[in-house]
Amino acid sequence: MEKMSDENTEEVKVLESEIERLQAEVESLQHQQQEINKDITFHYSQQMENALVFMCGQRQEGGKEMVMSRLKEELEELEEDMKLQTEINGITLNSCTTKTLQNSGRKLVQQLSLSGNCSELVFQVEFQLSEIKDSERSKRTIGDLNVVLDSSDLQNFSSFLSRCIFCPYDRNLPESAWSVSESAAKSRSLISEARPHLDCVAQSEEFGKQQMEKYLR
Amino acid sequence: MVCERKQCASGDRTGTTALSRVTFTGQHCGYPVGGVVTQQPPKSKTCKRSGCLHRIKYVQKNKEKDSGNMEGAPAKGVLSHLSLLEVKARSRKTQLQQQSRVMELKAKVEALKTQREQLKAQIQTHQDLQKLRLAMDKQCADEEEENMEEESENSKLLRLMARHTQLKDLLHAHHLIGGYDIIKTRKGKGACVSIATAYEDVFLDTFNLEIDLKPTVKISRHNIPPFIPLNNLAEQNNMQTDLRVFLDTLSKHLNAFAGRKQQLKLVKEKHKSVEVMESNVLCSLLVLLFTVPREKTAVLCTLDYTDHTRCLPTRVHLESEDKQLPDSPQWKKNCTLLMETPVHKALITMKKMGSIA
Repeated sequence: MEKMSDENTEEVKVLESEIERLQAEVESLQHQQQEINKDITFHYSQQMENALVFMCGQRQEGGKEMVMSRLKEELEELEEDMKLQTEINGITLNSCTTKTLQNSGRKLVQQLSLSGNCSELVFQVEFQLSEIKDSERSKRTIGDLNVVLDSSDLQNFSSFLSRCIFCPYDRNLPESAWSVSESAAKSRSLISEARPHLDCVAQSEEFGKQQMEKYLR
Repeated sequence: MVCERKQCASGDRTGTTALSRVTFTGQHCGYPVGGVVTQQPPKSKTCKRSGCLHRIKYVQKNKEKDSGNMEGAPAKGVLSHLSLLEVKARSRKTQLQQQSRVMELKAKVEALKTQREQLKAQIQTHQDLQKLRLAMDKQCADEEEENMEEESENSKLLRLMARHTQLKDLLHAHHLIGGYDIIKTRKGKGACVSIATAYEDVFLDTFNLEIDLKPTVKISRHNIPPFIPLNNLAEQNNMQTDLRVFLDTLSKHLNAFAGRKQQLKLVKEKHKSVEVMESNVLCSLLVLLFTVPREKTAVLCTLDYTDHTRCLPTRVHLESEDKQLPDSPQWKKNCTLLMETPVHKALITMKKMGSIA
């Protein structure tokens, strides 16, 4: 009787220390997961959630085919939206990378890098986006605007930039590619202000008209 | 009678009968006391447990017929048997407790292990997704061709997921760079367009339009203020054929209006020494009252914004009690300043220069 009780106490001790060890492991993994989640600024859609759960090895009703086909459907919708946006804005965006610099409850600061083209003009744009949430509304500001263009005819664009940036840009860079950077905050209506200029630079008003016809048809 | 000793089992005074003969036994302080086989209840005895000197009352329960048997375990045997049973019961209880605790802990270990494996899987999936997304971004930015090598089923799904996050980010980017947010409605027969406004790095109001696309392109609903000539713009810009040009012009008007409105707000907030005498809803007219320091002369400044697509005035007019003042070089400079710089910024310079209080 006494002996069994001793064995039990021993086993209990072993188990308790294993539990402590596992809890520490789980905590560090949860911390790691939080770090990853910091960079994800969008809530995943239901289909994405399902796909994630599936990838983690949990089976769901309908199996893989269901998950894939539903996700494909949603993707098709998004591709359609993308086409529409590209046509109405007249600017094609190819890539967008976001880095979250700060994400406390009220303040969100992100660094964005975009690349794309407007007609035949290829560009890269980088900027910082700050969003501060108030009780009623949130305030969004743009800062640290950086534009890289690949074009020899930059007259119009340079006048646009000098209008909204209060610092002279460096003209000494080679003609094929120059970048303008300014640490003060800028106007964010890049498209509405820039497109007329970019269009002129690319000399493709005709192209724009064709795009719109396609869209309206 | 209840034992008043603190540690005593209170009021335990039941007796039990055993065997064929009527037996009176007593219990007190949790210990059996003197199994006495007798025909008569024994006289009241004192509890023999050390330190407790209470009297015990004997009570007969379940009186049975006297079978005449002379069987009867000796008192000592019953006592030790009972003690043994009690000890056994206690140890079984502790044993059970320990066993259930062990099971509890084992279950917890299993649960934690499962949680750990789940977290590892989630983290791995996210890392794979991020890696794939980075590769895809690079491919798209450099406009490389995708290499469609043989993929496993899982990597196909991962690719779909990466494309999903990519599209979401790109759509968000379109929104951020000031594009028109357009959503097709009613199976392509209509569209909702959002026009965002901003001034000096701050996003301001958003305006919305609902457009019918079929049979003709026309605006069905909107929340654009009435002082913006929406219908005129639609006609002039041939909304039917060139939706984008129309939206561009409308956006110019709205952004300029938002910019002027913001300037007025900043003047009111940051320049309390300057009085706003008059302004209109379109913010295309602004009359300010300056005070010249020292002389305390009043200067009335009218700013006309006749070009509604711009944030800067087209005309600046100064009036003062001092007739010479508007023609002075200093004030001619101020006039130019007000034509070329947004008013809230111009006022800062004018204050620095000592033109106004």
